[in-house]
Amino acid sequence: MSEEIQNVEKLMSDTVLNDPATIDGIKNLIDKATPLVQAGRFNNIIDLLSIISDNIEFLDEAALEKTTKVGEEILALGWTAGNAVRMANAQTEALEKPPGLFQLIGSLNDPDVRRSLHFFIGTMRIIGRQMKND
Amino acid sequence: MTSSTKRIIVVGGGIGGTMTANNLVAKFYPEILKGEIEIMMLSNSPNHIYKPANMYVAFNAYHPHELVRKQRSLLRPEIIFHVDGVESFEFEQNRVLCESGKRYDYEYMVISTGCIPAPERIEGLKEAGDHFYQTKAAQQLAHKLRTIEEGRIFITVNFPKTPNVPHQCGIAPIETTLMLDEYLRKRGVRDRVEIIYSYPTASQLLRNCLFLQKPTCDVLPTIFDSKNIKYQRGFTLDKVDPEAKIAYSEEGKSQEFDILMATPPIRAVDAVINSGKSQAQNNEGWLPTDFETLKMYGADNVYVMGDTVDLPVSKAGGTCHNQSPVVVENIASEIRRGYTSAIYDGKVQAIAQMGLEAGMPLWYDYKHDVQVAPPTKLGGLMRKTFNRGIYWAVARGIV
Repeated sequence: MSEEIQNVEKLMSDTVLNDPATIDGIKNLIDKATPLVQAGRFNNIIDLLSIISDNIEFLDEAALEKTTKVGEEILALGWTAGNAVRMANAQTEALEKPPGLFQLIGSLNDPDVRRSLHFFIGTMRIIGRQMKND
Repeated sequence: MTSSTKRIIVVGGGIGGTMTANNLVAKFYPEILKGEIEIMMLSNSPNHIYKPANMYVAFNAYHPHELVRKQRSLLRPEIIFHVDGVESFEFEQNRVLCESGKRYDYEYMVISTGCIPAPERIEGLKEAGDHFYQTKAAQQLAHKLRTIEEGRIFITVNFPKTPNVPHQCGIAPIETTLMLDEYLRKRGVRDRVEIIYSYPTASQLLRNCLFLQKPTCDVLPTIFDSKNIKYQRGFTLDKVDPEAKIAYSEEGKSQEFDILMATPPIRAVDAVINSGKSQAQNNEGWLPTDFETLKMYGADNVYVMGDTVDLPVSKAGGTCHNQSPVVVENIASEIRRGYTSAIYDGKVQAIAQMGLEAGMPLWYDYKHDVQVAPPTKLGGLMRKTFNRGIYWAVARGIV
């Protein structure tokens, strides 16, 4: 008996391949995949798996650090802005009537309002600087 | 806040407290809009530190500032946040006294104040030992690991004296042992540095094992042998001689070392220890907690989670992640229905860092131990993605 056959028999007897349920399951998979394989439609799936596998190989700590940092910054920005809009919306909906002009101007006394205005003005300043023709 | 507003106080700005405060806002949003419920967080720090990643600092894989965010930036704006540590709990009056001298009343309270490494509880360990559970300690260890050229690194794991309560983050000693092996190989000094991993005789319900769960304990010798990591069972650290650099065990053994990498004893924070509610041994301070509802025994409107509990579950963020929804649902159910309705099943999940690159997702609960799977690069990338980004989404209650 050749060594290859012995190896196959050993594999069959030592592993879950020996279990009839495993063989039934594999047979079902083969039946299901056969039309895809015969028509060449399975090739794209194999290629897709290869790309996923290659990208896992390419992905290293440095790439991960950059992408997760960007991801966290976008998420944090969206979360912070979304929370502020949701809360401000709830406060606005709770108003019986809109605030008067003097009330609005008076809200400039609120340091939180002035801080956020400074944030928006600062953001515009930075965008303007980026747009400047050097 | 009106006189009819019910206040829920979350004490502790770690991962458990932060996600729970955010989850409470989401759960009680209709009541918060109507001014019926208010969520308040009390923390002793304006910053939030991702503590578990300090073990990466020990291997110079992270800069400490990468592990810090402003606590306010992690909290929904509906949360009233005070940087004011709790000085004492006044359970009978339903209020807490803070370090500022202010008192805050509550309808419900969640205590998630974590634990503190206490190497001083073993003679000589503070002077001679190193650990990776706090940033400064991890930086000190990093310096030693970066410069050691030859010698012995002895690893010791110390459990709380309270029966069946684990040390901080169950898998961390194995993670760091495997990271240490790879780190020294990268440095090219591994063949001149001996690594000896030890474990105490009693580890929760097991005896003479290398880990606190048997399936993992059974595979560890094979893993350690393949990496030439020596291991010693039954070494319960008794005392350390800092000058002679010798660790002595309660079992009468001794080990010489050049670096003593320890998982130190731990304790609850002072305010929890002084609350008078703990039944833990050795003045460790763990609060008596119902293992299903997570309610504290002795106070019907107080819940406990994370490291502060006296339960046989890992003191880790992956535990908080599963406890938080139970605590939030039970408070909501009590306020809205008059009874608790959620049950904690002891579930903990994590991705163990098995060496510098590979990772192994794991999960277990009260009834099932960790099932060990082969570590993979993909698992390692998942862990690193969690460290760099997903952790902060978890804290915000997004994930």
